[in-house]
Amino acid sequence: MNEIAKLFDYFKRAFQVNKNNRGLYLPQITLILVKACYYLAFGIFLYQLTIGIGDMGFEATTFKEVFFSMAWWIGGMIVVGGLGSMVVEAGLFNMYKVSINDELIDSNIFFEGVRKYFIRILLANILMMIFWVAFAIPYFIISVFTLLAGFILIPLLITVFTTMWKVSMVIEDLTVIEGLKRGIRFSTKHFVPLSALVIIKQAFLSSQAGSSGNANAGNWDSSNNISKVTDNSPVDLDTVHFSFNDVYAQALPYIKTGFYILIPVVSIAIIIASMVRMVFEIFFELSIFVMYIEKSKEAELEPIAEPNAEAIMEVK
Amino acid sequence: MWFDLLMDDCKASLELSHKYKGVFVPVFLKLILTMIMGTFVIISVITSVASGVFSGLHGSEGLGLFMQIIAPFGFFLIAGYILYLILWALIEVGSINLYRAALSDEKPSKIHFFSGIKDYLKKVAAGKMLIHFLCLILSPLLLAFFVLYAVIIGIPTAGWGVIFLTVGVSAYFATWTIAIVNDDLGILEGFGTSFKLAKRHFKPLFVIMLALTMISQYAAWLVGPLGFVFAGWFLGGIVKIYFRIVTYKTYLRYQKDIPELDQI
Repeated sequence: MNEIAKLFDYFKRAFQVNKNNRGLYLPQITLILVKACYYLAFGIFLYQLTIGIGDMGFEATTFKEVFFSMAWWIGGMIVVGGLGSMVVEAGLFNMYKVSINDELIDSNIFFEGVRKYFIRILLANILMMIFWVAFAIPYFIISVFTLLAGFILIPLLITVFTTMWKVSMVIEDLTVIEGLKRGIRFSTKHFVPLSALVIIKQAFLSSQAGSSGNANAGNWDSSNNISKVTDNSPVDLDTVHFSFNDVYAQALPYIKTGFYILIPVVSIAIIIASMVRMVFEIFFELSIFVMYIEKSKEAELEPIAEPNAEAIMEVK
Repeated sequence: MWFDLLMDDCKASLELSHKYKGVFVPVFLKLILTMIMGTFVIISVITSVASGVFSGLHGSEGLGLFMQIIAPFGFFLIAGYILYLILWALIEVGSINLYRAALSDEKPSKIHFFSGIKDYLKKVAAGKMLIHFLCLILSPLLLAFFVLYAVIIGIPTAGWGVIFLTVGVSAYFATWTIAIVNDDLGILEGFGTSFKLAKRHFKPLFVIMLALTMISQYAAWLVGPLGFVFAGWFLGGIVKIYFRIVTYKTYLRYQKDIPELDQI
């Protein structure tokens, strides 16, 4: 129980570091604004597409063009979002390390972190992705056999065992594999308090609020569904095509109004939801860093066990 | 600093709840309460159907049909509400007395639980009824406000605005039952103390309520959707009780800032 109680000391320290280093928020805020601009541009693209379809009508070629444009935008979102997140993660982790040691942080610390740790963090994320792809089917089977408990418990366990992976890579300047080994060893040794910390962190970050903002791209992309409906329709396509265009032309002013409201509202929602998430994320990541550093110090201070007399006799 | 003090309280509450596991007994009492309420609902439905009051429904429409279904349940609804209110208040006051015993470093026992019920049940039940009555009277206004708030603030903040409002309001109501039991106050004095405390020390109470909401919900779902049905009440209940003890400790820490309590 003492081990779990120590979490509150880590929270205290994290809060203090957080309060004294407001600069920790800058990289995340920049990324959030970049992402929001991207979503805004995507919204404007969808708006233009909607009007364009109204002018050209629904043709087979239109769907093809729409599909490829969408693929470009969604691909761009994954690249910008994914790579941007990893750049910010690499820089921020270095900032955490420096700020916990009561040193001043600036943009140089961030860029130093990106230079030193970006490739390692990228490799770690690729490894995690490969693991999840390979483990997807067993994960599903185990989850079903554990009466659906596995759907939540397995990712949670994996998070517990990999939480210290990148942290040890940054703090101790280890390679990807060494970091993974050290992280797993740490998690095994301090399983209960680390699990409690991960559960508390997940409770704040996996809230239902804010998830709507991230899912907007999927919600707007209904073109594939429309194409499926028209492909399988037993009704004469020409007739449907003609009447659907008419209905679409009539509905266009309402769709435009919908866009005028949705684009700014969704953009603001994404920014606010991401900002709230950012506050929790930075606080809990700092707590994890503090825990790693404190436990490492404790391990250094632990007295080395005196050799057991019986073991010496056995060796003799 | 307020956050350090809050963390100290959280730590002390954790050690206390580990030392006196008896404080978690109300989790099982709440399960029994739920089972009693469930049995009551089933009995009321069966009794109503068996009495044949629904036999002439086929000729009715709209409001008439609605009234014909609701009216036979009228007695059961009122009786159920009173039953729920009394049982809820009973567990609430008994639990607070258990926490009080633990905070005084005494082993919580059923004597503490029942002495709390004997002394404060009426006040807490009446206070709860007062809140319900006010909510009922103001329900059109509250509903209109909530819909407006959800549209203007809730949607552009992706739901966080609604969560923060709910947590903020619950911070103001967090300690009224504790104030009644701990300082032997009247109902209105209890509400007044709770509001003053939240006004002067909003940050720690807000953080406690936010953590209670987030962690108890997450903990209840920790063992999956099926586990939620069978163990969600237990895991969520443990977290809720822990944060109730933290709230009590926070109340004890800051109660000296309320001059009216000093006079008592």
